[in-house]
Amino acid sequence: MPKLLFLAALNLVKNPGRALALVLGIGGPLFLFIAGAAISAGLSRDATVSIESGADIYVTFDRGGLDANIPVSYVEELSKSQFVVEVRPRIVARLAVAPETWALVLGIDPIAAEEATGLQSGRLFESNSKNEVALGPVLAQRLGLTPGKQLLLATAFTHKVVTVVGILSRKGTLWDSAVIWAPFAQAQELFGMRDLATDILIRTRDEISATRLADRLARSEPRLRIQTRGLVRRYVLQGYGVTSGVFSAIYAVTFASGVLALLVISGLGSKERRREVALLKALGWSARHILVLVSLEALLCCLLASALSFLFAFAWVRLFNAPLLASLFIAELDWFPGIEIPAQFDAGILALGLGVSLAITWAGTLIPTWRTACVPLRETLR
Amino acid sequence: MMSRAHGFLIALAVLWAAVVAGLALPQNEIRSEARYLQRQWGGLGLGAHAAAGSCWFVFDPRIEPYCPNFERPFSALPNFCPRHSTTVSRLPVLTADAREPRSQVLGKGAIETLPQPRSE
Repeated sequence: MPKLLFLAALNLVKNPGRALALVLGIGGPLFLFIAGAAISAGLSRDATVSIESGADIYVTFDRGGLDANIPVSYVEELSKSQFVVEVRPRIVARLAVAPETWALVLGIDPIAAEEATGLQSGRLFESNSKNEVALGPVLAQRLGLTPGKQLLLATAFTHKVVTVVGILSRKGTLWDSAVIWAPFAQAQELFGMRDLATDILIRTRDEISATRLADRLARSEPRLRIQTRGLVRRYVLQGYGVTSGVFSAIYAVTFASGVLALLVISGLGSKERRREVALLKALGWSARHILVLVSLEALLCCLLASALSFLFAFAWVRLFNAPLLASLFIAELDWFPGIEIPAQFDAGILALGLGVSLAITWAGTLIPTWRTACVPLRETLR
Repeated sequence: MMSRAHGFLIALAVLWAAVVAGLALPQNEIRSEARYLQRQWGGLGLGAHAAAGSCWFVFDPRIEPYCPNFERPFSALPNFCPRHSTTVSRLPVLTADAREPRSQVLGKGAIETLPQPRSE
């Protein structure tokens, strides 16, 4: 076997054009697949942080299947429950702050007990602050804002000049990038939502308390839409994978370039291959040995293509922060993302990519070689 | 030519050693900043969307359980939302009754077995 492996390597070195076409045909889509799968796994991990650090129950009004604002009076009502530890109202809205630039305005009072570790510069505002906000790093960079500078926030209800007191860290999650974080009362004033919130976040004693409270609320108040942490976890984690979304496009590219690679190795190089097989048969090689040699050649090609694709994807995403590539996988992201792109490289994805590329190349090489190797030598030479 | 074949095999082994080293490197961990902000905000963001400019659903289905872009521009046809159909996440509609709906298709004769509404 080592001799055959060496001969397979020798064959590849002798035909660099064929090997290069195969490596490029397989390696290109594999690079996209590995990078996309790593970003998907990284985002899924960050989504888990969002779920686990989030509330136990989210309550809002249901308006024909869509969310509607909920009166803040529910906060007091919900606080009375024996299952509840903490109830916080929140406003989530979007606002155009410059041409083609959306900001996500988040109105929620900070938990004062925690030390502010999520800031890159400046400080955090107080809950009772009237005109102070903290900005996401990408938004601050795009608008050229630093702590101490002022920003005019204009809605249909009011025009409000706010002072930027802090810039959020770049080491947070993807979703922090374009946030304007303001105290709840300030966001209410900005969006004319007096006595209203977009949702109410409830923290309960434990998961069982959350389930009981959610059941009780669903029975007592049919207008409410209630989402528990368990429900969110179940639904969101099934949304991350490598079977749908942009991966469908990657598979289409893989299929197309696989066909091209097959053409190169089985069609365009068939004459050359037939001559090689005939020569080996003349030297006394059996069909089995020829097939082993050819499959080793394909294996070496696939090993080279998958190693190169993995290393390129790893360097592109981890070292250079996925320029030009991340925006293919994440919506509303700049070509050169200003935040750290989450990524998690997995041996399983690499193995899957290697397996698929092996299946393609073996199908493309073994069948024509077998057909050539099984006919008598005289026929092959003709 | 022989030495080139040897060189090829050695280069391949080196590449795979680099791959194994890359996999063995510590993945970028979830940082305390991310946990802090998510705790402060009660959890914000779940999908592969950076700014929620036009599709809340793909940004965070807790905020909007359904993508309204699916209804437009042709109300009776399956529509396409460019924001979330082209990302790495493909989130299902997030509603508690999506799996166990309250409504159901009734069989023949089943209407008689349903509790009748009370007449005033």
